[in-house]
Amino acid sequence: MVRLSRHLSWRELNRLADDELDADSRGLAIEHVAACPKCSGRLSFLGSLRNAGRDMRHPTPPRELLEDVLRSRSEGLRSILPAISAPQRSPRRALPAVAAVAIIASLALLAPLFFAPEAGAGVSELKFDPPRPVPGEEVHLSYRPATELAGEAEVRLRLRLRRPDSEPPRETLGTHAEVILRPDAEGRYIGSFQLPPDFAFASMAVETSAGDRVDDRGGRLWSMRAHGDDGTPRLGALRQEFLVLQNRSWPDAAAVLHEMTLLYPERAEGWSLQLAHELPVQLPDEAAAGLARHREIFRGLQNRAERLESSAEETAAMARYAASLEDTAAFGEWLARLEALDAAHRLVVSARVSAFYTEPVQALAYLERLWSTHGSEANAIYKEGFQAAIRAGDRKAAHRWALRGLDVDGDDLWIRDLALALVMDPETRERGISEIRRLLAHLGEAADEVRPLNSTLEEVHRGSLRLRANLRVELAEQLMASGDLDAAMRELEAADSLGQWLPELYRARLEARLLEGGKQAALADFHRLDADPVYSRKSVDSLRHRLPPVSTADLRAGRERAESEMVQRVLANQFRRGLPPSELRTSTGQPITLESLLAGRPAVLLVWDRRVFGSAEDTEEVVRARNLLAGGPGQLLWVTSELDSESLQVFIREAGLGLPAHHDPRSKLGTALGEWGSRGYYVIDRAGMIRARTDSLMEAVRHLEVLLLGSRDTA
Amino acid sequence: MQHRVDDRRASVSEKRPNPDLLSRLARGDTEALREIYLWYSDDVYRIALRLTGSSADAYDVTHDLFLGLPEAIQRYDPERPFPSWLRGVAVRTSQMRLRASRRRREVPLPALRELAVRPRQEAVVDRITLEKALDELSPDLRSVLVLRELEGLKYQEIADLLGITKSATAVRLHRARKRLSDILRGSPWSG
Repeated sequence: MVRLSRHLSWRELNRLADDELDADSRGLAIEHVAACPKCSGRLSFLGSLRNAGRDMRHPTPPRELLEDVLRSRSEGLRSILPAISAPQRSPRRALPAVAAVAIIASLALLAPLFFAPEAGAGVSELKFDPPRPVPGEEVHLSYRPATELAGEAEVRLRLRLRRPDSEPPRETLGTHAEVILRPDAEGRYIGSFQLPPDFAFASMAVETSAGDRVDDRGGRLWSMRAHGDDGTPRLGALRQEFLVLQNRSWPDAAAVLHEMTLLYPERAEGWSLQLAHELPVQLPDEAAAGLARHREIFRGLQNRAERLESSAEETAAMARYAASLEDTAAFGEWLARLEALDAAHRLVVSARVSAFYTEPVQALAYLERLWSTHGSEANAIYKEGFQAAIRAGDRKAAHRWALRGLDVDGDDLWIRDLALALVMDPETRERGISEIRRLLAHLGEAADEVRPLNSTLEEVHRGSLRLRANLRVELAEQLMASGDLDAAMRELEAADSLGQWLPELYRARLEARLLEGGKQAALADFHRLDADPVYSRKSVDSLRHRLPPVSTADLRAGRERAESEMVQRVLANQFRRGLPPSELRTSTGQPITLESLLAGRPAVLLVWDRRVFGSAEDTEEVVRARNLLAGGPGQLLWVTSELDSESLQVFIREAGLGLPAHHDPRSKLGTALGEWGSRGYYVIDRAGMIRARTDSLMEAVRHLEVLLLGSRDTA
Repeated sequence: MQHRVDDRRASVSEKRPNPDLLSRLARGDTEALREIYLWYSDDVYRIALRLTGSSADAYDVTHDLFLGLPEAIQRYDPERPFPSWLRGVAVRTSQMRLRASRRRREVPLPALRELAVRPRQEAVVDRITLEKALDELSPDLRSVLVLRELEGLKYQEIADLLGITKSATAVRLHRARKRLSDILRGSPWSG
């Protein structure tokens, strides 16, 4: 090899340092550097540059950046990014590229003019400081109201606070708290709040101090997570956020799980929930691939868990993961470990009771033993006990478990079931009735503790009329079953006085009259059921044979009277509101508006994501609604936030929906309707005005038919 | 904890997202944007911070990039690896940021002069020195140096990202190093 007798040029040294010399040149250069202090010093400098570069921080973007991006997009802001052309190999092409950058740079400056937020002043904003609070910390809140709440002397921020171990939520669950926010000189409303030490996650909405107007961010609500000292969201915070979102938005819940697995890959919970969340909406091929991947992850977690001591929650997560993977051996093993850690854990209790499913007497014996040692520690014990007693047909045991449940649980829905069961037994009837009366009063009060964050006092009060009427009907049915017809009739009359149109009430009252022997008196309710467009025709026909013969003319007259009452009662709650702007897509990706879909026909608009609300019952109800409307002037329109996919098409086919899906991928329509993440049924008249919104599809169908009936009468 | 997560992200960021995810992103699907963000935001932010030298500018670059990504993705050639395409967008956006406005100086000049007074035998560059000295380079020189020394890219990769030739990359790299050595007067380049 020829030795270099000169110093290396700058070009050679750079290429040597950067490993860009060919092999021969490299050998010569290295030989020279080894013997030359000057070139060696220069090379060392280049090496130290590289080492310093390696030592440089690996910064991570601030946590709030993602939310900032998403908020900006939701407000309609966009940015124009520089074009990245194919790799440039020719120096002559460099100039146009630079020119393009310059042009794009100038366009970027103009971008805000073209992409000004559409909603602009209509968008409110809630900020917290610190943005990544830790439990126990004081949080300063700053709220910039939209037009609707601007100018208020003060506003009220309502929060639902959840602990890391809070059970899956319903709207009214979670500890209620509120903060009064007062305006500062810049028109922002400010206040502060001390987070409790066991804080994990909060949902929030702002309302007037009178509670008559609510800013719930288009139904989306604001949220706050608990963070660790290093600014990472806590696992418990992500868990609670997922539990809240899983009943509202499939993709948002999936994103939280994704984050959970990224931040806590060594914990089973995120993976287990991810598998359970994704599996039901996957096609067989996707599901098989997903299961294979998750089995691999599960094996890794198991190996790790062998070396470490797991908490009860982590052990439960492993057991759930094994169950989702249908690995019964692993499930049994993890369940045994969990039982050793916490015998009253709800997973242990439900698994053990399931094993005794066909032998409820044995299940009851197991639960009695568990209750005697763990009692009120876990609601799971009484719930399983109550249900096992009903399965076993052991009325006394059911009442015993119901009384236990009433002592330990504060959940209204469970209290209703337990109390109604107690009504059946003369010994416990008074207790059951008094619990129902307490619930009835509770529902009407719309107390903040139970009022959903996104509802005004008036909305809750209006909605409570129907709930109260239904509860009275349920109580009456129990009283009838236990032979107290007088008390049942009093409850039914009280329910009727609330002014709702309730076929369940008419049926119960008809049965009560027949039991009393008043066949003639039962006819009025028969006419009501006959007039109802949703009530089963088969039931109406079978009832007819139990009633005295009626002439066709009397039947028609009775039906017309009932229809008139129905129109008056159903339409009492309607309103008139224009449609919000919509940017829907057909399954072929073509843009389409709601107006063009309606085409001047009245409709029930179904805003429904089958990934969130796709139970068999829900799906059957959609099919039933479609059948009820078929052949008439009304139509059923379906809008979903889900994008079109093979999975969705398979679902539509297999469920027999017979409905095309119209896509609203950004949930813009739901947000514009103030109902983001909700399943909503809207009744739209011929003029394209929204006339009602209900939580029940059958009620929406009835409302539409009644609307048509009313307009026919008018015509 | 944070390091572990960062390491993991760095290791996965070379992964190509599946075409479905990109097509959902192109349709403006928020969930897809969130997912892409979780995969790649560390890389984008790191590049932006190193190129601009300012955490405020890095924040803005990262924000603007993800804000415009659903529209920009329509210009993405699926034949190219997505991570390197995105890295290119990050580099260009950062350069635009540097050119569009004179960046706020986080290190005043006197501090740089202090740094420059170093004995010849300590002709090594530590992390802090490098971070501060990079501030003195022009956007073009800074870009090429950052991509080579901090991101570890090869000449051709740098050339592709910046839309220049491989030779131009070598020239700029030398100039950047020479300029650094002028700033850090004790370096062997000054001899």
